[in-house]
Amino acid sequence: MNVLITGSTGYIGHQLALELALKGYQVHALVRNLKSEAIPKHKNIQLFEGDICDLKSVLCAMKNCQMVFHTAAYTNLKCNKIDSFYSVNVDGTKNMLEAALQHKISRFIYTSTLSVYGPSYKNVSITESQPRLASYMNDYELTKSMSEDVVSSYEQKGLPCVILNVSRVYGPGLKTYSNGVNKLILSMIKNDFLFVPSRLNSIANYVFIKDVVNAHISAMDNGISGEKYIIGGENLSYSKLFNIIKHITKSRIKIVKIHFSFLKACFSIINGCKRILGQPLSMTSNVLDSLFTNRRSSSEKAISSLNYTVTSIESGLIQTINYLIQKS
Amino acid sequence: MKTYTLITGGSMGFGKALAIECAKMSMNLVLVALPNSGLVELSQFLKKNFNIDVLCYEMDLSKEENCISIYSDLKKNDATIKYLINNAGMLSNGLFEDMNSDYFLTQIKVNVATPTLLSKLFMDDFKANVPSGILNVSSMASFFDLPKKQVYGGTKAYLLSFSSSLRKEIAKYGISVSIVCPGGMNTTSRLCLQNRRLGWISRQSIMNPEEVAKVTLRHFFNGKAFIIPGNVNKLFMLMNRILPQFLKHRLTRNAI
Repeated sequence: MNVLITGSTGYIGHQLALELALKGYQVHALVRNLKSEAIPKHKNIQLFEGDICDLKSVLCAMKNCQMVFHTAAYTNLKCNKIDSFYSVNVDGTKNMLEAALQHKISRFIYTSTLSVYGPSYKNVSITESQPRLASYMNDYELTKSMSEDVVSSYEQKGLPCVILNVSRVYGPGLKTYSNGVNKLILSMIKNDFLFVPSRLNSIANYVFIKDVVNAHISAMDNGISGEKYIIGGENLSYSKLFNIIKHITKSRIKIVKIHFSFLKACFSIINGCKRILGQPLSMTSNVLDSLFTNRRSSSEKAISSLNYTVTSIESGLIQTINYLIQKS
Repeated sequence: MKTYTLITGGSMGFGKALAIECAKMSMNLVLVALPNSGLVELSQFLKKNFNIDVLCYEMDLSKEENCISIYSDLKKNDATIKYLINNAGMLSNGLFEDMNSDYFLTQIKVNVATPTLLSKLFMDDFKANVPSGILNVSSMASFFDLPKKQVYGGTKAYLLSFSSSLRKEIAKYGISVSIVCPGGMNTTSRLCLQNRRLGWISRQSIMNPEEVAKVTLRHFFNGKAFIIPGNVNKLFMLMNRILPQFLKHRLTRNAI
């Protein structure tokens, strides 16, 4: 079977493409730059130069494919231009869906984010039926949510679609914007002090990259069209996450807490100066807010209907840490 | 008999934010919204997690018989209304000459006739549950001349006038009538997108519905007659009195 994948130079897409190729699928990878170092290499992976923002190139790459994995997205929260997000996440997704409808694709698997559900309420885990309780926090959430509406509209038109809402991913893999946990582990290995915002009890859901890849593959056969599935792992506070990483790496790192609002104010001032000087931003208040929002969630639905299994955080982190140590 | 707060248009945007705030205050809710707008999911979530009772009605409020059937169904369920929040409204954005007459006739029903009718239907409930009240959701648009929002602005101006007059009439029973005039809000995703593309000045007035809901309800329960949420909007109101027409038009060009 031929499958098309977008975002194969990204964190999830890269490993998904390789896993599909390993399983014997003929993978069509749509890439913007054929010379990118992040391109997955395998004899079953055929490269197509193009861009999801260019419908013609999408139509061409999708020829003879039966299924589509759309993992490409614009995720850079440091960007403050909504149109960068909109053109890729909404218009780009629309192109993908349009091409899929024309090619009579039998399954369109869309990689989305847990953040479209907004924050979790108190100790209640987010499930697929939770209404959003707060406004969109940033342009990424807004445009991903809008793109899900576009996916639903194509599902109504007869294109079989499944949406996967992935929580915070960690694990071996490409160094991209989307895997902050790896960056955190590296800095905990290398440094003596770690400066962190004071909201260490905010809870997020951490999912191991291999689980995410497996969920995508399982959705090909087991996902029901029109359904959404939360693909997550364990719910953890930052303090617990730090403790587990410290324990595994036997690190003696000192964690220094800095008042959250003070830190945010500092970054605002620094970024204001950097913007004037035209320098790239290292951290923005958007990113901070997003990192310290409670997102406790449950993947029960995926577990019961996609045969989804969760790697324990300890086991996942050990594999990740070994990988990172080997690489450096 | 349980007392409830009735919120129309409670499934999305400002109505949803008001519903969540009321739920946080442990008030039982009656929510009304159009079918397939997420109302059932919201009602179930609030009922389950806030320890309150939530009744929901998925129906079209432009029809008089639907308003009456909500009333009789609530009576059958032994539910009585203490607070009514007339939030449901139809937006419009287009030239009058291009507007479909069916559209604005329905808009006038939803924005004008329905809140008036609901206020009347539940008058005995309010009297029985004092201190009680009606909160009508108007808009900043009711103060400004906005091309492309002729009918919308007109319906909102009606609510303003209706509320302040009714307030004087029924204050003697202990029933409070308030009006809130929010400015632009990040409600539907389409409006969020539109708001984020605004110029700097206009963007300063945009608020998230949850902030507006908090401020609004605090003032409503304190019996304030006239609520303008947000300092920037208050400033706009002040400037409305002192600025020349051409500047006002510039400022309100993109407001909702």
